[in-house]
Amino acid sequence: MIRKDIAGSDVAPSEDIPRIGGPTSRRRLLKAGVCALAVIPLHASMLSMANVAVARGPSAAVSAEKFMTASRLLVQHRLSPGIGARMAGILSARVATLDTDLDAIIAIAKQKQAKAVEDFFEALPDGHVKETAHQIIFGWYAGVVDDSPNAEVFAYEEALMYQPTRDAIPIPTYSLDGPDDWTNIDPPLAAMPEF
Amino acid sequence: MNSPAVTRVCSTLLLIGALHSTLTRGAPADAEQIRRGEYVAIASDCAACHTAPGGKPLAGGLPIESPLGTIYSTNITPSKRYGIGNYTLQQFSSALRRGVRADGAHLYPAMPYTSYGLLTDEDVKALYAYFMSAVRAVDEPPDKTTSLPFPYNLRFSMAVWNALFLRAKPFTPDSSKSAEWNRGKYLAEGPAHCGECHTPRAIFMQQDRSREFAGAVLGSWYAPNITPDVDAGIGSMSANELFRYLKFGRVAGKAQAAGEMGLAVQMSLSRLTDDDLEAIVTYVQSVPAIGGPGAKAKFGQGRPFSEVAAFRGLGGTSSDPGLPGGGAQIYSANCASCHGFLGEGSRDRYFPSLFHNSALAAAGGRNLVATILFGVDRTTADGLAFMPGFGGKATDIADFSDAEVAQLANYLLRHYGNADYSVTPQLVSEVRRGRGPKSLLAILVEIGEGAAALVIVLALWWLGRRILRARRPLLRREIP
Repeated sequence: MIRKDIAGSDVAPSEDIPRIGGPTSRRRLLKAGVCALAVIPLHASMLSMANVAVARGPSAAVSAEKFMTASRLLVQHRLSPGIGARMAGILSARVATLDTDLDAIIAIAKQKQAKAVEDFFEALPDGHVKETAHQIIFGWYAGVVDDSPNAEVFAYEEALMYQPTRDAIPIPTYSLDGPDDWTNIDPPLAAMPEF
Repeated sequence: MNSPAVTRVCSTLLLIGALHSTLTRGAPADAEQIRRGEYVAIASDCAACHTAPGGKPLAGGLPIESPLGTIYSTNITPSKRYGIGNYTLQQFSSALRRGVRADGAHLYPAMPYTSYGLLTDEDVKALYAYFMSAVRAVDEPPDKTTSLPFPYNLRFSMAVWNALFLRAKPFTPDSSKSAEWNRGKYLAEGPAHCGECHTPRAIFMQQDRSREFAGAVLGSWYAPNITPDVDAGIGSMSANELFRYLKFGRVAGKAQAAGEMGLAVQMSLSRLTDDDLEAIVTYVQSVPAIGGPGAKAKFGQGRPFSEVAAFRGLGGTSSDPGLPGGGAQIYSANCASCHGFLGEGSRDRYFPSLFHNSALAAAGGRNLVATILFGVDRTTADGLAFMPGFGGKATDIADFSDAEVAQLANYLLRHYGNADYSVTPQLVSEVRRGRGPKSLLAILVEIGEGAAALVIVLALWWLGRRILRARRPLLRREIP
């Protein structure tokens, strides 16, 4: 009986493929939505922030490991160490206080026993620590640390801004399905991709 | 004996007599027989070789690269001048099953007559009826005809070869096995001639039957091990998956048919009945498993992987060798938009994943190189499966150098395939030219020719000296 399941099984996801579009709880959806909303005002103020950042001058390259630790406290998604290393290098050249800012972010999160960014973000002191925290979050979402025309892109396909919709909207230049396939599955809106 | 019994015997005898006279006169081909013949022709994939791309059906002219030189297929339409229109059933059968043309000349075993030798008399008759009544005669010669270099141009040498290696006995079923198994064995070893590509060849280019289906290089491609070995073969594929592979040319996430197999699926296997495909699967799953030393599971190598973070944004993404990223950069610029930046393929599996893909985990990556160079173009009931080539042909999307293909292939093998493999630009060049490694026979013949040449040179030199010596006194005498 090997004829069964001829056509259907080809589109079924297997465990081998990273899942794109599994179900997500409403809470997670809300959290992700809040994060995404936080990016919008951030983005608007980026130009002035970029100028500030440049004015703050370079610092010695920070430890990639420390940068990732702080990043994981600030962003609750799966983060690529390769992209972290690129962003750490770029921010090191622009933010003189980066190393101590990272120490401060890690220390405050630890003190608050934070499980998510909301648990400690308000407690960060206004000024360069909070600005650095904003910039790191922005970088993970946008793949650049500012929106100046000559900003160095360090993430594209893995930039977080593409992930919430990647089950329905292909990342530009990448195909979601085979050619001329316009009638494929509409993913349910409530089930956001996990990333 | 009572009278009804006598009547029965008499009528049976009459019937036999009538049948016999029909048979000896040569029964006219009926529609059913022609249909059956067409099916046998599809199962035997005659058109794969005898129809050149863009040429008229079965009119020949397709170049076939063999380790001994290029062989061109012939016109097998019923044209009386250029084809087989004058062949009797006997001559047709002889060419098909014994490799001997009507004029008595021997065919090269590029024509798989060692496999077709298993065809039953009934199938040969049906095939003859189909060729003579339903194939359109093409009264043109093929563009090119075969002329192999010495000594392979001595066609009579094939008589010796046939005496050694031809098993020209029609298939006889093994009564201890099921009807399905017997049908599968008949199809796989006879008309479908799987072993012609998948069984390695021994020194005289005959199939090495002790290693049936263990895999072999064939021109640009490698016909993989299809024995039930779990790692080296197809033992980890279910019967359903094998069936789908034969019917549609792919098993999503594991394997896809390209090159010669793509054609075999498109033109032959996908057009067989489901029962016949199941029979082939049953038989192929029953042959002895043949592994290889240190074989790794060919459907289980690699994982989702990307190096793009290391060079994204640094000088743009293109296949410019001056840009950072090496093979990963070439992948990102040319392959990732379809196969995904992690090599995971598209959501609907139209574009296959590269990890867990047997093209990257068998035979040293040869089929990966061939796929990069030539792409994939296969049509079945499943639709068109298409990948452009990157080897610089007119319809290709890019023109990669041998070094670039090797760099890309090595990146892919390291992360998505068998990481023990490494390909060289020399291999890429060999695959590009469609040449498999030279056969031992060809090497020996070259050595033999070299030795013969040396003997002739030495003989001439010796003769020359003799002549000179003989003349020297004469010359001296002439000088005053």
